[in-house]
Amino acid sequence: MQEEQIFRALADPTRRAMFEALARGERTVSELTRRFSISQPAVSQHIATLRRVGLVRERRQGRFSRYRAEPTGLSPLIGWIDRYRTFWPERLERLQGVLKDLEP
Amino acid sequence: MTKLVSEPAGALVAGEKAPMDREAIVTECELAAAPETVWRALTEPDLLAAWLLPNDIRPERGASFTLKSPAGLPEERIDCQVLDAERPRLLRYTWRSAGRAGGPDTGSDLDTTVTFELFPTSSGGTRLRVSHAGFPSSARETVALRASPARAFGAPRPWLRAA
Repeated sequence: MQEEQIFRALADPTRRAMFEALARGERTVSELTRRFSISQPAVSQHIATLRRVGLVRERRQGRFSRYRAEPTGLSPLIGWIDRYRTFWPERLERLQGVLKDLEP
Repeated sequence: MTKLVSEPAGALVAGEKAPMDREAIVTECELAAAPETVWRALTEPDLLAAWLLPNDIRPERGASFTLKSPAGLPEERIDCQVLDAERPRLLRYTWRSAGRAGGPDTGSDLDTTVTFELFPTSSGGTRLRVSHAGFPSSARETVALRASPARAFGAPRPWLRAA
């Protein structure tokens, strides 16, 4: 399922920060390498993971690739979180019913 | 009277155990029942099944159990492990969505934590707070950021400072 992969991609703090940075504007791998103080292959690896789950988009410009966040890629994950937003209040209403039967 | 309070979307809970950069869904309610009674409803399999989900819970630290077939949720089952069990005030367990309906069973990918806190009230009842934590907060933050770019530079973002 897609939300699992998105969740896993964002579970890594560096990838999450990278995604946030790319949500503010396009960056190249070398720009990201400078900013995050990790190796260029590591940055490329993170970008590849984010691209695979649809969170980052690539734009070719001559010899360089520029990357930016694709915020709509988060929709499945947000849908998943929202289901829990309605789940808990509903279940706690039911708990109140169960407790009424337990206590006179 | 019972009261149900749900935190607004995007509430960040700076809990002692929840990492700062994760979002929590916090739901609170006031119950007429005493904490001991509420504790039973949280920890006895039949009672828990009557309001939450079919389960084989054992309220002992380290114990594993499973919640089954959640209606309205995409998971087939939720794998849990008890992290804290302090009768009758605190119950905390992992909440791992597994066995996705219609998809391959990829195990414990959506890994979150649920905490139940029971506070006695002056009237002999219980205030129950349920915190479901561990959702990546950047999901909502980034959407908010896109909707209102000016906000991007206003609020502190702990996970960016840490990077």
